Amino acid sequence: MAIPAAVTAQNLETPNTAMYGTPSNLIDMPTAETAPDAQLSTTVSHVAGTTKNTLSFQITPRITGAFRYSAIDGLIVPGYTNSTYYDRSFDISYQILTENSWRPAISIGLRDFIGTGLYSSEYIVATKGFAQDRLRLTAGVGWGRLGTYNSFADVGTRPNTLLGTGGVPTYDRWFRGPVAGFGGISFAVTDKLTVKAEYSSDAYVEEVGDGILQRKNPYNFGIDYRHSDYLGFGLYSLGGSEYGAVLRFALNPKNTGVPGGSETAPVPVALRPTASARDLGWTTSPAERQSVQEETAAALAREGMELEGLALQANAAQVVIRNGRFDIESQAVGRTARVLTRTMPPSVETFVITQVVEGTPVSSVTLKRSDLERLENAPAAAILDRAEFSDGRRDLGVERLADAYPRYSWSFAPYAQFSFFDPDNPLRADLGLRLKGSYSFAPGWVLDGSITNRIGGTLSRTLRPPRVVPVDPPPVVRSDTPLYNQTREPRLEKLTLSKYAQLGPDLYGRMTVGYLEPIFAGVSGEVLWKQTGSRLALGIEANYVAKRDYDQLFGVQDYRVATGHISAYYDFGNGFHGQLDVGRYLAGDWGATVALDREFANGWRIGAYATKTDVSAASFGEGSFDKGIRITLPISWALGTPDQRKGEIVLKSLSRDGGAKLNVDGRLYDRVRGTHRSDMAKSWGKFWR
Amino acid sequence: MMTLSRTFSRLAAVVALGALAACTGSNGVEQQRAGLGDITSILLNRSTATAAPSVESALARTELPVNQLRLTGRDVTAFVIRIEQNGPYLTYASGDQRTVIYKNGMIVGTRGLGEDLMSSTADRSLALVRGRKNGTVQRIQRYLTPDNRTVELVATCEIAYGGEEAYSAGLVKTPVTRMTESCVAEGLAIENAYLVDRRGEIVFARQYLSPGNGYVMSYSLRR
Repeated sequence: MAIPAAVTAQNLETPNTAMYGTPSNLIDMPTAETAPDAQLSTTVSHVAGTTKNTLSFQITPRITGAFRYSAIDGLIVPGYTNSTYYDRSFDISYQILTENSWRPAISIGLRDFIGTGLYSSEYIVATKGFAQDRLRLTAGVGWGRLGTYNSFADVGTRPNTLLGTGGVPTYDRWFRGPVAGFGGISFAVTDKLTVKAEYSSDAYVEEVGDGILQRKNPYNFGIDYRHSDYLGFGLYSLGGSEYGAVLRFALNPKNTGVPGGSETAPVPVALRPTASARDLGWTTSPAERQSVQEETAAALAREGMELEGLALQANAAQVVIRNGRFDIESQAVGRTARVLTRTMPPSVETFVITQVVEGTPVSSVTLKRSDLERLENAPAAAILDRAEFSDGRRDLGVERLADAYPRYSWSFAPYAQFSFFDPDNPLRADLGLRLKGSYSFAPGWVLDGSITNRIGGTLSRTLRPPRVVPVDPPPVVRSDTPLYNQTREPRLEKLTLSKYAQLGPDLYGRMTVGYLEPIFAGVSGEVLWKQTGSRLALGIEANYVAKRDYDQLFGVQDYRVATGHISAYYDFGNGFHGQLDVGRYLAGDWGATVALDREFANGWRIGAYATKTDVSAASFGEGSFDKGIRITLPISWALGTPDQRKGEIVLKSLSRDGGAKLNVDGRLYDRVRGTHRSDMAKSWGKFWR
Repeated sequence: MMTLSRTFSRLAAVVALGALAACTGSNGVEQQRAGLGDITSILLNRSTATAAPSVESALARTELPVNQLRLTGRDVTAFVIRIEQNGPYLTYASGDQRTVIYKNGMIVGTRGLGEDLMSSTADRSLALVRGRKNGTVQRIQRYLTPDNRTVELVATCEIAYGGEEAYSAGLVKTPVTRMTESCVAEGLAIENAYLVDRRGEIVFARQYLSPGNGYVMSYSLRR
């Protein structure tokens, strides 16, 4: 931890994870421990032919979620022919009671609660720390897999049939069947070294039955070494006959990274000479106005921003800026404001800084120059109180700079396209080359194109026949994606003409026509209502699209569909953000998508979504409905300097045809919100950075 | 630990970006973006620092006031030149665009050092130091976290007289009073020190900045 932060209660926190990749100082057994809030960890564990890769996230201080991808060599599964069985599972746990001086922390948890249920188990567990928290004792009861050894009671019977076609919460099994007790002890010998022992209630029935491992007794022992909060490993002895190992990487979007960034300093505020503020001589001199414009444009360019338009009055100035550098918009506005104190004539007291999306103004921040002069060295909250936010319509008579349009940019670069953790293969990837160009001939108008040429890879491999054959399936809209990745000829990934505009008060619009994405072409229109300070935004999107030919050139197939959604976006204000889309999907199916993300003011986003439509589980096929986990990693966080690029990873169920959405670029909400007060206020400290 | 986590996060960036070897062009402002070379030099921990010039050559290069800085946490020495004044606040900048903000010689802000001191509330401390008086005051230093929240380091500080000395650095030679500022903040002990001339101007300051930067020592070479 680099900078003093509010110290939170140490509610039996541990950065350690064990065989299941979730926060635990034991080995196979769960505890009531949690990871530090917002820790994101990846754990690779291996024992006797079983490898588990677990991504675990501390969603809130008490709720832990995990996604696991396991490979089991030699597991015999009916209807499955590969020698290695791949399994995906999700865990969730909740710390019901926090620890205090007289009571242990108590957690309730579900392992593998969605899907096929190989690791399906539920538990209630208590953990208490002793000896300055170096010694932790854990005891609990478990069902399912955790009730397979030496059970002491039965709670009804545990069904083992699949709900739907898999992929739905297995609520019919939870806390049912045999119950067994488990327990363990861990001792932190030093800050880095922990030894542990546990009594396991997992009999490894299937693994022992298939000869994958041996289990002589219920005792597991281990030692864990934490190199740092970000790297650790452990060695374990399991069941008196097997040895296991764990390697763990972790990061925390909240406190890893360079605090405040390491980019160079802004220019300081320049104070006006006293009494010069009444000098209006410059207003009548065209030459002077021209030089103000040139100096401002040059100074903004040194900050990595572009001046697109300018309005200059005796006491007020408005600049329209295009920010291609700062991912945190408050920093872009703060730097622009300081530039203006240096370039604007002394009589100009009001600065209106307007940000654009593709040349269309979407937000303005109005600042008093005397506030900037007075508050440069005050806490950032002081200037936030004085700043005025408005939508993009504020206009003091802006004139576009003569050289602002047309504008173009291009890039030619290799690309790698990944597909992670599908049910047959941990990683599929394609390598290729991409030529991309963008041409904007007037404010709000953009012509975008992208051509790719695949060099090779495994994305083209057709998937095995599904384990569950869909009954009366919907039209094929996404499940044939591999067919679009066959050719090694140039492909037209995208060719679109878009128009962005502000349509009215707090109302923004987009229209896009052309080859919208690799699989669909057509027309897409969107209207977004978003007030600058509001937590709620509403949008409507309507598209009419045709499915493209497999060669991804200009032709289309004879599948056409009208698709679109009504969307509600809501910022809960505590770091959580929700989105609800209701409408018609690509296969013509009707339904809704719910998404919940935890967002950080540095651009990190970790969340999950699920889509249910009127395509039944039987027609959908394997997985029953579409769902996934998504992570956005801001490149600026990794580099420590401003950068607008970001990496996005989506872990989702198989690409099926029900609940599939169009992937059109330029959706308004994410492009507009960063410039609005609601988002800028979260990272306002960057204003003076 | 810090280095390792930085290496990880940078590796994550390399993976996330997929490819950094891109040819690009535009008719707009070119963005200075990290490329493959930058990333490899960061991963290999190659230093890009160059040798600092001497005091004489730093003074010869400008007519403006010059301070010399040393960061204990980074083992960095730099010369900074006064570039701006906003009331009592003076901004000094290094050649590589890092700035330090002083109020009567006490450092109240930094920009571009990483873990920057974003602002300070230290007027009472400054008044005691300049007046060469003993007393107990509160000092607040503000920082950004990696997720861009503002956090405060709130310290309780005891200011004490530390004796008379002679100060000599660069072109500045003056009798001074040593004032010490001993603070406790969230279990952290801070030992700041200042040399104050007869007019109440601080010519030397040793102040705590942050875990990574450690203490900054600032010597006035020309006023």
